[in-house]
Amino acid sequence: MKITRTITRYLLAAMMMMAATGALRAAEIHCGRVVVFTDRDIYIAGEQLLFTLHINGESGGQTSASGEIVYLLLRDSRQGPVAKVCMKTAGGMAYGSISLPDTLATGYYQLVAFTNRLRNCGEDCYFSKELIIANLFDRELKALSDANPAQVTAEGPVVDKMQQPAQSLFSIRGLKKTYAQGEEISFSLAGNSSSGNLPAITVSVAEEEPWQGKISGYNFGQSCSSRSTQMEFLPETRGQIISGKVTDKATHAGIENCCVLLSAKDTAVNLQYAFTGSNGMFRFRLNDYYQQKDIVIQLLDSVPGQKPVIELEDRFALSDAFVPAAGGISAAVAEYIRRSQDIVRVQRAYRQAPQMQAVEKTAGNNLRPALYYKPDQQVFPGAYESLSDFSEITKELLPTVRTRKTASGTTLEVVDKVQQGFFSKNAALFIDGIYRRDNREVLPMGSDRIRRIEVVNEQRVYGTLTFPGILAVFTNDSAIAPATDQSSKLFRVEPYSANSVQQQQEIPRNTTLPDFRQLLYWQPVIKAGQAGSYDIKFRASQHTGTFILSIRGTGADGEIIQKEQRFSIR
Amino acid sequence: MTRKDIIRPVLFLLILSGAAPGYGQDTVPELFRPPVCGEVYVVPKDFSGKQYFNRNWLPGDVVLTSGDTLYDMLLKYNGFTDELIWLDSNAFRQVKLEKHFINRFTMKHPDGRVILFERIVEKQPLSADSADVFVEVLCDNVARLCVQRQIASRGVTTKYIEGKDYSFDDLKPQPRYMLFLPNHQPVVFRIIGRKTVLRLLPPGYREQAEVIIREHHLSLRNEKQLIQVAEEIR
Repeated sequence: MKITRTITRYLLAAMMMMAATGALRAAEIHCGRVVVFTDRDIYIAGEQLLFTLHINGESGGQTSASGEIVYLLLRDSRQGPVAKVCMKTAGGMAYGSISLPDTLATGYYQLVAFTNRLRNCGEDCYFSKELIIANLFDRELKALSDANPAQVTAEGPVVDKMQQPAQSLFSIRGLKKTYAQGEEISFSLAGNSSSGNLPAITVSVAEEEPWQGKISGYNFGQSCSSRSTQMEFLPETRGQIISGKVTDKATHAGIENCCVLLSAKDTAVNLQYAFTGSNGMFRFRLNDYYQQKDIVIQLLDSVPGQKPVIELEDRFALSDAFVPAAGGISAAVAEYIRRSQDIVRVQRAYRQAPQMQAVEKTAGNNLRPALYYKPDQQVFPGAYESLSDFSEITKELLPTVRTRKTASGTTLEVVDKVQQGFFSKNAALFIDGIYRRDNREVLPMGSDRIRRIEVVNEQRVYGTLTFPGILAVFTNDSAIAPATDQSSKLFRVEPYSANSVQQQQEIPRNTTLPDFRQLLYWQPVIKAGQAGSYDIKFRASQHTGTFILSIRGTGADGEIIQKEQRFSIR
Repeated sequence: MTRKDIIRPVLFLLILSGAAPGYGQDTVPELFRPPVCGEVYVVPKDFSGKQYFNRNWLPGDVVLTSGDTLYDMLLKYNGFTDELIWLDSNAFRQVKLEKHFINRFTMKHPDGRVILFERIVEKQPLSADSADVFVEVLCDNVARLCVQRQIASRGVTTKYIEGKDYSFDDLKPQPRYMLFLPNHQPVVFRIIGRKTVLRLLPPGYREQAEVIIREHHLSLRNEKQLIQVAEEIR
């Protein structure tokens, strides 16, 4: 009796625990967080927007050790994209610049940053920051002063959520209150030893701006989490994940269980496949191999009675519209912008625009998803007498391949080396690495167009797919034939931008060249280490005013670290 | 109700909570499971003797060159062709996996042993070519002992079937041992023997091996003793 009671108690406890953990774990998805630091908040069109981005992992605390892909979008108030940047983080950070086009109109712009994982929690959790960009020739700045007066808040034009209590992880030593024009400024950042391992930080020294961009989408207490029961958008730690949908052209309903193929134009055969889910959705993970390549997505077979259409998801498409929060600018801001316009004009006249220098890209996995290692036969038709079409090539040069005219068209069959006879089905045809369902494209090709032919004479198994032999044709021109219907899509993935830093401008002191730099120093990543110190040295410009030294970063728990110190140049 | 009655289920709960499967990233590898790549394998029958290292299908994992792992596959290693065969039970077929896409694979023996095979690139004798071969890793300490589980033809057997004489290649295991010394120098031999091994070892390692053999009273006649020596070479 006692044993039965004990067993029942244990079983009840186990069931309760399983129910509780199951419910808790399935009910909450941690999306992490992204934060972006920019060198300034006001820019003139044609300048470089420098940024550093930090991501924190799914627990909200730890930064992802493996790189995760972060998307950065700069858009205007009409929702038009100005710049799209895709970066891969290393150690939870990435840094670079956005070159602002000269033709940008004056207005409020929004910088949005997110990861695929963050998409599970909705656009409210994306990092966004409002910026002002003024056209070089717009002196009136009407677009800024007329902007949405309904949004003016009682406490002021801008709410800066980043003004959290400053952390005392770093102390600044040797920074004076005032410097003369062109004087050398040197100071050191010292880590506080009691605070353990110090995080990587971004250091910038720029003129104080009378306006600060509104930041949203960043919760300081905890990272975003979703109550969804399923993680729809997976973390992109091992490559970009592209998704799309196969729908019926007439009904727009998703088509289930379609085999979708993905291959890139290359000098070697490559293939990935996926089956659509109940809603017609499919997903592919693309590693670095696909960077800068033309990619074709198509269906393996036609769908009887339906006209399938492949739609690819636009990663940068946002559903929430950008409505500038700032309602008009003060006279001080207008004055600052006009002064900045003058400075940029002078810098352009003297060709002093700062240059960006790319830092080596982080090594990624660029392994090709190969279908076979070595072909059974390889022929270079150019090495032989010229042959007019593919049928002739097969007769003269490819004894293990045959073309046959049938009522339904021409078939392309290869010999099965095991069974010593031709396969009864068409061989899988690849042209320049891309799978082709229709062999009509290859038939008119003669020796002049074909560089190389590879034949695989075996029943090839690739996951759940089986190909009765493979015929790969590589052309001299490598031109992809345009898609005949909507069941095929040609696209390129957004390439990752390499980390880049601004080259330090060294203008000699005893020179007649003007030096009105507003950004005196920008170092996107400083790893001071535990209780380490970092010496910083640069020269002040001829531009006078109040400057701010900003130290920014994110801590181990994802909290923002920000320390500022003002000094003036007279 | 005593204190024990409360503490025990709570402890049980705590242990279980650590073992419970999590949700989230665990689902990721399953979604992007790498495809198995190979060719449909037709079992050759013109041989006498065993072609395979393992007679029965053993469950195992395959680590691909991409770094992805294919879990719980039914595998057989063909020592005659040096190929890994997978039993695709869903499609009722055997698939010869593409050797060059495999870095290593393991097979779980019913007695609990995990047999590890690795693909290595070996220079071919009397030519500049190199070939990829699968070797079983027997010891992976400072020195590394591997064995190529080669099965080779050792003559021809004639069988009288339905009034006709048929000749079959007679297959026999011919293991090839490779001892990689701490200085990465390989020592290759086929027969395990005290004299053979000591003769092939370079000076320095030879003395070391002699001491090991003496201390452990080894006759060095079998694989087990060879592993013991390899494990202690520094």
